[in-house]
Amino acid sequence: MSLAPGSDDALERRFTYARASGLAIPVMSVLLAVLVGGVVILVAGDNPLTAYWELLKGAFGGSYNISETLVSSIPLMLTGLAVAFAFRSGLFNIGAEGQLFMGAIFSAFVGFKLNLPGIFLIPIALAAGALGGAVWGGIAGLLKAWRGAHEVITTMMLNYTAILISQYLLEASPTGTPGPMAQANVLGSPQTPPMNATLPVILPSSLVQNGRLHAGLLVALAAAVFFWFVLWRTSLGYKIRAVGLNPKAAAYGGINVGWTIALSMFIAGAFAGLGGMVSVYGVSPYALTNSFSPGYGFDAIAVALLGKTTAAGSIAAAILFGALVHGSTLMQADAGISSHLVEILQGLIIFFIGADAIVRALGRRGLVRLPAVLQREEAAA
Amino acid sequence: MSLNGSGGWANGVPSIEARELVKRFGTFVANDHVSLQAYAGKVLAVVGENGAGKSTLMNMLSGLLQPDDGEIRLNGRPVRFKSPRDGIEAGIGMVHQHFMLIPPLTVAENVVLGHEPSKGFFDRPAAERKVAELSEAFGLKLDPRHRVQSLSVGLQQRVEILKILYWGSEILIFDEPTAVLTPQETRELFVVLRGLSQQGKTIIFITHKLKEVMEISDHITVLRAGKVVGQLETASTSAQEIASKMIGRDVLPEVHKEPPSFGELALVVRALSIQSDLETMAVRNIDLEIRAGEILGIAGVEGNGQSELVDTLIGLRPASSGTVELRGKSLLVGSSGLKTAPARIREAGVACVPEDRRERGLVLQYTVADNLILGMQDDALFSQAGVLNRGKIRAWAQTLVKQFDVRPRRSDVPVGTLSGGNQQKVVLAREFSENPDLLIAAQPTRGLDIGAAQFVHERLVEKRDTGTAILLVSAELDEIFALSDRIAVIYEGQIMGVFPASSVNEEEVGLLMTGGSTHAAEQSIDLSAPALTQGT
Repeated sequence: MSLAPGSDDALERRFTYARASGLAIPVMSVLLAVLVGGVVILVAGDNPLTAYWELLKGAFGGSYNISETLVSSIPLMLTGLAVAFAFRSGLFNIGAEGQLFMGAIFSAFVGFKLNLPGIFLIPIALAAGALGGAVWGGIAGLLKAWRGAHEVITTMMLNYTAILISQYLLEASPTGTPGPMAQANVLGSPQTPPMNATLPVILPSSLVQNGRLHAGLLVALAAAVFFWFVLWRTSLGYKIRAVGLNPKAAAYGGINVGWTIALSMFIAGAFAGLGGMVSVYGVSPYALTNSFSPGYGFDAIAVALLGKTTAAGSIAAAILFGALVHGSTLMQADAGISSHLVEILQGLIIFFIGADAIVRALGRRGLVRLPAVLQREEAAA
Repeated sequence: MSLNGSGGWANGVPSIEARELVKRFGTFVANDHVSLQAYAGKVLAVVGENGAGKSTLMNMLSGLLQPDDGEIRLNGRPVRFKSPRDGIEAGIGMVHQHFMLIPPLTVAENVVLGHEPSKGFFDRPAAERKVAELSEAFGLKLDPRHRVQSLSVGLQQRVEILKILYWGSEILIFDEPTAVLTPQETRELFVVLRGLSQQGKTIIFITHKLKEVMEISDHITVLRAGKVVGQLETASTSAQEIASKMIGRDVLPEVHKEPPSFGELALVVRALSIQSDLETMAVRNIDLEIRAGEILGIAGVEGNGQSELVDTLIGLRPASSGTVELRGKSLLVGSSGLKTAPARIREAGVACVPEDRRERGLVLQYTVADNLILGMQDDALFSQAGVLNRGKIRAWAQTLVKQFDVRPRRSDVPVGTLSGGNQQKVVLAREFSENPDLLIAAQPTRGLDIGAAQFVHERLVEKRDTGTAILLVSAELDEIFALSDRIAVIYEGQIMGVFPASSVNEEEVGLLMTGGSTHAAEQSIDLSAPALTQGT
């Protein structure tokens, strides 16, 4: 048994590299996106430094902006967790948007039907939202487990289904009858009656004037802790990760792969469903509308990948995306740079996450010094 | 470093020579001033345990890796390869352990790929003619029009060899070529290698199987922990000497075995038939019995139903008909009595060291500790109310790591970073710790170095002596004979016979493995025969 390659010291160093490279790729992809985005701004005839400064100021300049950035990121945190969790069992959950909608529908239903004080209604609404998302995620999970239906297809189709159900529930038919859940006699876009209770604002007005930061943040953080706990501290999480990493070894070890997959989609859906609940109960108009989501469930894919499908990573990535969204409005107002820049940045970030191959190629040509782990992998390949 | 200068040919100019090559990965020195010489018309064996630096060295010789220091010389002239392409152009071809073929394409198409003969378009007849000529010239019988996917592994390897010959390679490097071959195919490969060597090619043969070294090579370079520890001439050395140089101590790869003491019947298989993935019958109507305290070895060329049999016994594949009982209780469930469920079978007392530990036995990204509880994660010992007890798991793992001598002695590192031998020890530790009534060991020492293989063998015998019934499935006859109390030979899904190990020899079993005794002797010479037997 040759000891040299396996000696404790050498291993120790290898793991330090591994951990460093784990953080390196997300950080590097963001930096590269900023760099290339800067070139785009330059070509468009603006000063990239000004643009980024305004973006940063818009996102984090002052307590109000920080609070607004967080407000934008709360639903992304929850949908990001939904994508990340499913990923751990080896599934690509494209359906966070649909799960978000079902969570919003379920929670909105109890919100105007039950006339209860907040202390009772909010927990019920949280449960309803989680259930709505869980059912929607669970359908895709069961289809995968029983019939092997590919989750990318089923979750994507279930997105349309959920969004169209929401439209049916709200919008007037051609004869003018409002949808089953719509509030009658409202001009403009249709919506449900307002909720009988809302999520409280958690920052005092002495700290933030007109601050909107609501208790949904606590829901998201609690969900992240739950995510971490289930995945790393329970035997269910152990099974989910085993199935995600090596389904054959998991099956061989007696783990029921199909059931584990279905369960993980159920839990993932619950995260996104909570995202729907906080969107309805956390911000004005405190009702279900057709336009409450600007695509939280889709941005969630980028959030989860940038966050390396970890709980803490998803929260951090969601804040970054929230900052881009909120910061861009001020950047556009103050510096006159189109807020579409932010969409370019988001696209570039995703591109560079996927471009870990590019980094390796640069390493092979000696332009970048690769960490030892990557060098080894290269040598083995 | 004992340089051998006695042989006449060894004083000529080597066709390829490595001088003091150094390769580092980070702080790890994979090759530390490694030198070797290979000569036209000779077979050089490069031997060493897993991780000794053999593959790194070959990757430098073929241009895949660039040395950090040192020099490579071809026919005495220094060369510098920037890529494998440079190596190929200089006449160095490598047959990798994992083939680089495109299965749906034909033999001819695969061989000429990248250097296609053309008349403005792909000239298929010319390609087929050239490949036929080559295979004729070098005694590599192949039909250029066959699709690669329909060929046996041994024949696919032949396509790889033809490919590098087509490139005009004079120096042929084989990276553990026999690892994927049946004993029969190995013998055929050796015939081919001798032929190539007689035609003046330089052959470099990487392996850690000493028997093959003694059989095929003219001279030997031994690597240990990245350094050359011996350069020997095959004619004047022994397997023992090579082994002691490889592992740094004298070792006889033989297992000390007390006579068995059989207990009651443990496993009883009756009239069992199993379908393959292709819905053909993989296992046909077999009967098997194993007693407590007995090792039953199943000898057979791979692909004759062993994998399907093991899958059924551990619950991953339903039976088509028949019964399987462990200590009188049926392992097959469901209304038909033919279905299986891995979790239930484990509960019933079956453990298994699977054929492919990386694919089935381990979650490579999991730590050693997490792998040691795979399948037992819901045991009251390791989790309460669904919450894992990290402390208990760690303590458990530490005990097993010590007991099974897993190096490094740590349970918190990803198992994928361990060497193959240590990975197998982790699998062994887990399966043994379940105290099974029946232990299935499928190809338990595949890819392991001598030290690790011996360790595995000793543990299996120990387990037998504590009264466990052991089903050993192996393609290596040495292993079957070293361990088994009785030997069952499987061929095309049928048991050809069950013998007490002392009543048969390797020859007889070898003949049965290839489907009978009458034409088996001719088969060992006729190169095209295995393709026919593989098809069914």
